[in-house]
Amino acid sequence: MKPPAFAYYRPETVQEALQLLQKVNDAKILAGGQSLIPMLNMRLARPAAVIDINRLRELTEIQEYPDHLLVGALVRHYQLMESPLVRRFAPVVAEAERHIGHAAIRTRGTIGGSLSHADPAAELPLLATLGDWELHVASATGARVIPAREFFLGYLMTALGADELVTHIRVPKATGVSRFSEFALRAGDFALVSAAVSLNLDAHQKIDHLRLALGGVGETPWREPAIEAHYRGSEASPNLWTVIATEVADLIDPPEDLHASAAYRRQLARALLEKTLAETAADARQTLTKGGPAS
Amino acid sequence: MAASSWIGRPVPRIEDRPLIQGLGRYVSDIQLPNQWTLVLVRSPHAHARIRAVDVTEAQRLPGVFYVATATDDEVFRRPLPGMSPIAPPVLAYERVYYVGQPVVAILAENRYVAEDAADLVKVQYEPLPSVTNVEHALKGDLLLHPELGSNIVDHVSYRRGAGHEALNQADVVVQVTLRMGRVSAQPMEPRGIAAIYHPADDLLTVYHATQSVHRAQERIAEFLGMPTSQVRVIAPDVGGGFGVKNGTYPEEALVTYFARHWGHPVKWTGDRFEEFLGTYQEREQTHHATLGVKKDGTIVALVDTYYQDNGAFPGGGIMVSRNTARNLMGPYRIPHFAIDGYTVLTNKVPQAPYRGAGRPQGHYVIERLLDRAADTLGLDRAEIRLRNLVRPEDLPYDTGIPDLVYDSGNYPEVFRDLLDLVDLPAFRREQAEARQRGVRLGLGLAAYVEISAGFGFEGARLVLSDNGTVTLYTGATNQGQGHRTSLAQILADTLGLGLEDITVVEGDTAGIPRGIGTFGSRTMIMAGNATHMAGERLIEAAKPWAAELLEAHRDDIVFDAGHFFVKGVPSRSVNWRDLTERLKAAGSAPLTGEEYFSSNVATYGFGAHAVIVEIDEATLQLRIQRYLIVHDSGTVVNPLLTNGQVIGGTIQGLGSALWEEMQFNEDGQPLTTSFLDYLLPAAVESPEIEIHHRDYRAPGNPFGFKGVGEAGIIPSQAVILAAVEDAYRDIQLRLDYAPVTPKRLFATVAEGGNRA
Ligand SMILES: Cc1cc2nc3c(=O)[nH]c(=O)nc-3n(C[C@H](O)[C@H](O)[C@H](O)COP(=O)(O)OP(=O)(O)OC[C@H]3O[C@@H](n4cnc5c(N)ncnc54)[C@H](O)[C@@H]3O)c2cc1C
Repeated sequence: MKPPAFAYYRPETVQEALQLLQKVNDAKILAGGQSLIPMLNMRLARPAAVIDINRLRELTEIQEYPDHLLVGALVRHYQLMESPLVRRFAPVVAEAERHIGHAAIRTRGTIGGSLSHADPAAELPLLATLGDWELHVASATGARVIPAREFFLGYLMTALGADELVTHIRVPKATGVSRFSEFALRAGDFALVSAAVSLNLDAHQKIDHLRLALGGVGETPWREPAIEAHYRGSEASPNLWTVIATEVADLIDPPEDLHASAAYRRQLARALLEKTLAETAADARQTLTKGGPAS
Repeated sequence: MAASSWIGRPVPRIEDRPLIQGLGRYVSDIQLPNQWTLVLVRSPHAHARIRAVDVTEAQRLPGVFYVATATDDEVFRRPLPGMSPIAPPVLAYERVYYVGQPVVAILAENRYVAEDAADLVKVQYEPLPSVTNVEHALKGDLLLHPELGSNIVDHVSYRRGAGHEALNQADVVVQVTLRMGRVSAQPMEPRGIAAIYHPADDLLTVYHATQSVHRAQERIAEFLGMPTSQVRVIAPDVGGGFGVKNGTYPEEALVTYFARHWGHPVKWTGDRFEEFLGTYQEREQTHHATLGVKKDGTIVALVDTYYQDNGAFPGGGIMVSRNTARNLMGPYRIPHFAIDGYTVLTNKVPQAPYRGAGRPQGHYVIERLLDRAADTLGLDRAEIRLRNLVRPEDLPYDTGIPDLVYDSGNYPEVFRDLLDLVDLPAFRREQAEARQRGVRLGLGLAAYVEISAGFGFEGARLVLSDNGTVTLYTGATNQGQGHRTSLAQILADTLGLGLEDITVVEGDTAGIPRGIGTFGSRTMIMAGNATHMAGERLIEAAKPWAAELLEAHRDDIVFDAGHFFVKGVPSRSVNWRDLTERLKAAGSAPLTGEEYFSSNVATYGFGAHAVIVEIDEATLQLRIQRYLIVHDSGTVVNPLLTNGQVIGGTIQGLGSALWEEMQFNEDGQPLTTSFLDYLLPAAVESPEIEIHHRDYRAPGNPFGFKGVGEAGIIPSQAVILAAVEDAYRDIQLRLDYAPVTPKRLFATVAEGGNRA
C-alpha cells in the first residue's frame, strides 16, 4: 500500500494551480486526500503528478450573498457541520455532515473533493442534486458554471475537464424545509441508501414545493423533477408519503453489491423516503404555525 | 501464601502510559541499520499453474537488491516448518493454491521501491479449476494435493453411549444444517518481522510480532538449520494477535533466511491488504446436526457431522476442527453422541486458530439446536436450557470427551440469575408493546463453558536486582492482555513488594530458556501459577542470607509480606533491599528463582449471555438494546483486565455475528479485502455490556485461575441469531447462517423466514 512515484506540486494561488493543471500532464488535484490518498496507496490511481491545493486560501471561505452561500472548494466537512451560515441557510447540509465518515475524515475532507470524487453514495453530491447547487469551475483558459444535475455523469465521473478546478460552490439558501436520512451498516460508513427531501406546505396543508433525491441507488444521485411536479398541490398526509415513496421505489433501478441486494436497496429507499417525507412535513407544519417560511 | 493485597485489585494497566503517549515500540518502529525491506508478489489466482516468472525488469530497478523465486534455490522450495501433514513451500513452486500465496520475494531499499518492483514482475499463470467450497472438495474430482489422496486432511470422531442409535429413544428429533462464514482476525497491528544477523557470533536476532517467541525460535532454528541457542526472538510491543500471530508463515522463513544469507538486516511489515490475503482465517464450517430430545426437552442424543473449509493447507486449522468437537456439548448433559468432524482442503487461505478456536463453533451448534428443539416442542428457550444444564450434583462431570471433566460452578443457578436480571416476563410485555409500534424486539440466550489450558507448561524466572527490585521473565508473550500488570500483581503478593518494585519482561527468548506463549486463554493459569512458584523459590534462595543477617538458623527464618524474621520475633526483620546490600557486599551473584508450572488439567470457566435486539421493521437496522453477561472468571487477578477481556471478546464476537465475513466469488477470489468491505464493530456499534461475576475457583490449579480471554466470543453468533429469530417469532424466522447481515436478514424475511 505505497503509491507509485509521482511529481508533487504545491501552488500558492488559484492562478498558479490553473497554470499547472494546463501544463502538467496526467495530474490529479489533491484536496483533503481522504479519497485520493487511499486510491494512490492501493495503486488504483496512478497519476504522473499530484497538485496539492491545500495552500489556496482563496478557496477556504463561506461567504453570504442575498440568495445563496458561496462555499470555497477547500471548505472542510467539519466546517460545513459547524458554520453558523450553513446551519442557518442550509441546515440540511449540517445535518447530513454528521454521517460523513468520522471526525478525522471530516477534519480533512473538503466539499470540492467530495463533489469531484462523485461517489454515488456520498452525502454532498446528493444534497447538491437536491438543492440545485452550482459548481464554479475554472481553468487556465476560462471559467464556467456547472449545475449539479449536469455535473455528475456516472460512478466517480463528472463533467470536469482534466485541466479544470472546482473553485466554489453556489449553495442557494433553503426555500423549503429540508431533511436528510440514510442507512449505513455502521456509523460513518458510506450509506447503502440515503434520502433527502425539501418541502413547503401552503396554508391549506397542500404541497407547494417538493424535491426528492436519493443516493446509493444508481451511478449518480437520483432526482426526478417530473414526479416532484406531479405532487405539487397534493394534500399532505401520511398516506401520500407512502404513495410517493412506493412510486419512487418502483422507479429506481438500484445496484446490487456485497452489502445489499437491489431489492433490499429498494426497500431501504422506500422506507427512508417515507420517513424523511413525514419528518419534513412535520417540520414544515411547524414552520407554518410559527408563521412564515424557514429563515 | 501471603495475604492478598494485590490480587483482586482493579489496578490500571502499567503498560498504558507509554502506549497512550505513543511510546510503544512495534516491529514497524524498529529500524535496523541499513535494513532491506521485503515485499512479496502474491498469487492473484486461487488455483493455477505457474508457467514462467520473469523478474528481469524488477531486478533492474534502482534500489532493488534481490528478487527471489522458488526456482532460484532449494531453500525456497522447502516446506514451512511446523505444519503437517502437508506444508506449502516458502515460495510457491509450479503451482499456486490460494489468492495471496507468496510467489516472488523482493528485497529493496524501501517499501515504495519494492512495490514498484513487484509491479514489474511478470508471472505467467495457467488458471486451473478451483475448489472453493467443501461440497465440491468432497466430491473428490479435483484433488488439491494428490499425494494426500483426498481433500480431507483430518477426521475427528467421538462417540458416547449408543451414539446415533440413541436418536430412536427421542420423542422429537430436530435436524438442521448450520453454517458459519469465514472471518479474519484483523489485529490492529498487522503481522511483521525483522531480523539481523551477527556473523561474529553466528547469532540471529529476530524482532517478531508473535504470540510465542519460543515457538518462533524453534521454527526459525529448524528452518535455517541453526541451534536454537543461536536464534534470539524478541516480541516487542505487539498490537493484538487473537491467535493469528502464533503460526508458521512464509514471511518468517524468508526474513530470517535472507537476514542470515545476505548478512543484512531485513524487515517485512505486512500491510492491511496482506492481513486480508495472507494471514490465516477462521470459523468457516458447515454442520449437519441432529438433536434428539424427550417431550420435556431433556436431551437424548446429539449427532453432528461437520466440515471445515480449511483452505489450501492445514495452517493451524486441524486444531480448530478438533476443538470444535470438544465444544459441542457446551454446558449441557448429553448422554449419547456421535460426532464426526472433517477438515477439508479448498483453494483459500488456510484456517488457523482465531480467538475462540472451535469454542464458538461447537457452542453455536448446540445452542442453535436447543433453540430449534424448544421451538419444535413449544417449550420456552430458557426452560430447555435449565432442563439440560449440568447440575452441581453432577460435578465433576465427565462430558464423555477424553480429558474433559467439568469441575466447578453452578450452571443452573447462574443461568437463573441471568433470567432474573433480564426479567423475562417484563421483557415479553415490552416486546408485545413495541411490536405495536413497528419495532421488533428479540431476546437471545446462550450459555457456555470456556475450556482453557490443559496442556504444556509456562515458566517464570526472577532476578533480584541490586536495588532490591525484581525482574520477572516469562515465555508468555503479551499482545495487549496487560500481563505486565497482572503478573506483577501476583508477584507483588508473593514477595510482599509494591508494583513499582517489579518489572515484567515478556517476549524475549534471552530472558528465559523455555516457554510456550500466550494463546488459548492460558497465561494467567500457566504463567500466573509459575510466577508464584518462582517467587516462593526466590524466597527460599534468600533465606540463608536472611539467616546470616539475623544471625539465626536458616530453618528458623520465616517470610511474611516482604519481611524475613526469626520465627516468633517479627519485630526484628530484614527486607529485600537489606538482602541485596548484603549480597553486593559479599560479591555474590544476584538471587534468582525459576519455576515452570505444567499441568494437563484444563480449566472450566462458564457463564451465560442474554441480548435484547431492536430491529427496525422497514430498514432492518439492528440495535442492541441490552447485553447481559453472567460470568465465572475463577480467581480474578485484576477485574479491569478480566472484564476487558470479556467485553473485548463479546464485541469481537458481535462482529462475526452481525457484519464480518470474508466473501469469495466462485473462482476463489476474496471480495472483502479492505475495511471498506470487511466490517469490524467500532465504538458506536459497541453496546454497553453489563457483566455480573459469579466466580468459582478452579480446583485444578493452585491459585484457582481460569481462562477468560475467549469467554466473551463463545456465544456471540448463537445468541445474536437467537435474538433476531425471537424478534420475528410471528413468521417463525429460522437463521442458519452466521453472520446475520442486514442483506441476509432481508433475503430470509423476504422469503418468508424459512430459508435453509
Ligand atoms: C474511512 C472513510 C469514510 C468515509 N466516509 C464517507 C461518507 O460516509 N460519506 C462521504 O461522502 N464521504 C466519505 N468519505 C470520503 C470523504 O468525504 C472525502 O473527503 C471526499 O470523498 C473527498 O474529499 P477530499 O477533499 O478528501 O478529496 P481528495 O481525496 O483530495 O480528492 C478526491 C478527488 O477529487 C478531486 N478533487 C479534489 N478537489 C478538487 C477540486 N477542488 N477541483 C477538482 N477536483 C478536485 C481529486 O483530484 C480526486 O480525484 C470517507 C472517507 C474515508 C477515508
